[in-house]
Amino acid sequence: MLYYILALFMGVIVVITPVLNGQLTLKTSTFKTAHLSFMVGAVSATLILIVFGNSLFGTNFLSDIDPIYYSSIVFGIFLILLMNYYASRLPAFLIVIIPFVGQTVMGVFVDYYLIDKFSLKKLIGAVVILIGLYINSMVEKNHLKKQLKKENQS
Amino acid sequence: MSFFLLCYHIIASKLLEGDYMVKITAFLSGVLMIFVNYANSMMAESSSVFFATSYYHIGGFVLLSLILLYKKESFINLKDLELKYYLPGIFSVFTILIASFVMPVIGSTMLIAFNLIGQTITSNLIDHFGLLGMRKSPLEKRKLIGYSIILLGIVIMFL
Repeated sequence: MLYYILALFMGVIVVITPVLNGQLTLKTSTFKTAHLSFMVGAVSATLILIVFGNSLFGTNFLSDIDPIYYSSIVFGIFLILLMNYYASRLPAFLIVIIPFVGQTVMGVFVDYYLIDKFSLKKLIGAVVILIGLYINSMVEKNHLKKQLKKENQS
Repeated sequence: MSFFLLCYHIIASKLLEGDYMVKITAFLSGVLMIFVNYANSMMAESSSVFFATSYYHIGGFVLLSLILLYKKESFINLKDLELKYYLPGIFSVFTILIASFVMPVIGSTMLIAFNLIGQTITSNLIDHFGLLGMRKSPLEKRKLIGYSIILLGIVIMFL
């Protein structure tokens, strides 16, 4: 239960972050905004590590982990740049739905090959969710069209 | 099974129509999101969750500092910065903490699904009440159809 609430809370965070970052990017620049968030992140993560971590380094750190996982920082920064690129070029109703398609494709792949938590029900559920998102994006598109018509008439 | 895959394929190909370079970028960002979360959760398993977050943020901070120096841009001016702009940094720590804590237990598909509920609720609250300086646009009743279908999808995942 706790895990699901945490996952829900992550969704809340994921929406608030780009709103604030977008406002700051307009005032400064993409790299400066990302730099600030990593700077605050580095400080608070180190504090959390010192307070809650049992030891500064894990017992078998550096030994049994695939080196490819160390590249997460490079992809993390690349991810921020990609988000900044498409956020200003895509209509708002597509910003949620297209990354969701990418996430489910990769998520099913990861669950199947790497975590062994894959089940057909989850895939079907993901497709049903996608249908719901698609319907809502169509509603939003029509709404925008109507608004544009009204503005043109007046 | 094949019916659902067909639905998925039709919607996905419809979404990628038009300006497809930008759309493929958005698709790729979704793929990368899961990869970064998975890499962090792998690192968390072999050391600790807290170490994984620290590694990610300190590493990213160093790398971005180098990029800023290379581009000859100055660092951000911390003096006249509103307090709320510090929040994304703290949130980003919690994102990694939660992802690397939760993903190995419930799987990445469930993480995405619950993420999505949180996202939908928050984005609708922000739009409806005009929070955080966004423009106010009341919730449309027709959207409730889509939301109930999304909820149905999550129920199917639990069955």
